[in-house]
Amino acid sequence: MGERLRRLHALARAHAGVAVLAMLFLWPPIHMGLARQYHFSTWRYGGFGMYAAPDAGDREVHILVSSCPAIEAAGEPTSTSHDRHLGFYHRIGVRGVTPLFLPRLDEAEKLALAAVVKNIRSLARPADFERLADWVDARLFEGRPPALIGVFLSDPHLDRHATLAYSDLWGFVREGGQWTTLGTLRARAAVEAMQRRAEACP
Amino acid sequence: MTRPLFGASTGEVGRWLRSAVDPITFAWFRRMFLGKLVLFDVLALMRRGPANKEALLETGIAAVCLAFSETRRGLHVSAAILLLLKVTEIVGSFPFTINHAFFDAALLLVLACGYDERDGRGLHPVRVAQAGILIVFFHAGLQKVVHGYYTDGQWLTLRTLYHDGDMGGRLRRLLRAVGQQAGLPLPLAGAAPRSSGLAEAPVNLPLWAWGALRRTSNVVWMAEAGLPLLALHPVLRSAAVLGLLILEVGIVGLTGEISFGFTVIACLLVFFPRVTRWASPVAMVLLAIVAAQWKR
Repeated sequence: MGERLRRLHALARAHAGVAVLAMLFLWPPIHMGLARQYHFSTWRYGGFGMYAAPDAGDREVHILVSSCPAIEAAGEPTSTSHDRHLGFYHRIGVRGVTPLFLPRLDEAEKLALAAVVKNIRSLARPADFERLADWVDARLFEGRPPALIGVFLSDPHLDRHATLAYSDLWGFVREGGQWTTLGTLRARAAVEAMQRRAEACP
Repeated sequence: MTRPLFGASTGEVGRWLRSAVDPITFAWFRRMFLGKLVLFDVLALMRRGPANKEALLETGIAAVCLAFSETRRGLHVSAAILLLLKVTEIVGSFPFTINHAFFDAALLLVLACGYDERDGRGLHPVRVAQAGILIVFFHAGLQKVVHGYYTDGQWLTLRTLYHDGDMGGRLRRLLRAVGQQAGLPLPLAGAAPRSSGLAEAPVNLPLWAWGALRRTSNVVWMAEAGLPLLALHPVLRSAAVLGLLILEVGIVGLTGEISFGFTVIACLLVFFPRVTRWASPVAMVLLAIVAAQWKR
């Protein structure tokens, strides 16, 4: 046992430094590719991409819903700065994009919802997008899912004309129980596509 | 056969990586690095209160490890225990672990494994720390270009405009000071309310400030990606590392990233073995004072 430990220690002593340097050299470019592919925050998973892109707190989560029946305007719209941690909810309809109102939430539900939104902002895992959509189904539509729902993650951008926009969207659209990944899209195109579908409502 | 590598050669870089390290330089490196771990445990204990048994135990263990690390055998055991604590912290905070914790864990791993100059195998922990920090800087600079927020100053501008945290406040104060000196129109006094939703919103920032942030951004990514490459060349190494030190002091001052700043400065100071014995303790004291002020 003692001899085996000594041999293990000698092995670690001989190779630990090179292994650490190899990991430091190889992991960040892999991380960079994965972060771009799967949209998780560059501040996570040890890729040394902190300060390279907006961190989770700067990213926004949007829910776009197109539903043919009118939605009760009870509670508060989330498109106000104090509710940023809960994400933004919009209704797509013939009048364009309008805020979707949230029911009043108790503290526990607020915390649970904020945790899902935080997960999406940091990790962008598909399961969290679905969880948020399920929550919208249950709380805003009482278990009768809207025809079309899109859950998006977006990063802020400043363009050369000095305007701020949340233009790069990534997320999922669910239609008839089927989820589709939209990939990286220009926001306007995604919103317009959803709007065209909403306008087809009877 | 050696191949050119940014003016140096892979053979030269390999020889440098395998070269001997002055024991005093090594001693000050590990005191500064392990001392940082203890300092941040102490600060966490002060924040959480001495009644917090978990924090008290962790601080006590870390302090004992720091003391025992002064002996050869004690260093490996102490580093292994601190590595265990760090791994516990990483597992506990995963997947929201800050990236710096992984670098700290890597350094603790090489300290725990140790190095024996008599058998001539492996790399000295100080050389791993030096090469490691150059790699981290290089990748950090590269990522800033690839993610597209630096070449036109977007990242710093977003912070300046919309962040009411420390960094946004410091950037605004800096810009206002520059504007006042030069008689230029002044940017916002505070963080602007950020537009929400999917609508576009105009940005209220004078052009000169936008330009200054763009130039600063470009200097940052160029220095981060370029200076580590220059540091591979033996003739340019000291100047390049000095540049990185200045950059890091600026980063600490602006971002408040004092914990990682401590590690980075510990790794960079060992490039100057002649001054390590006084520069490291001075840096330790100064950084500890700043950390105590900011993290209390």
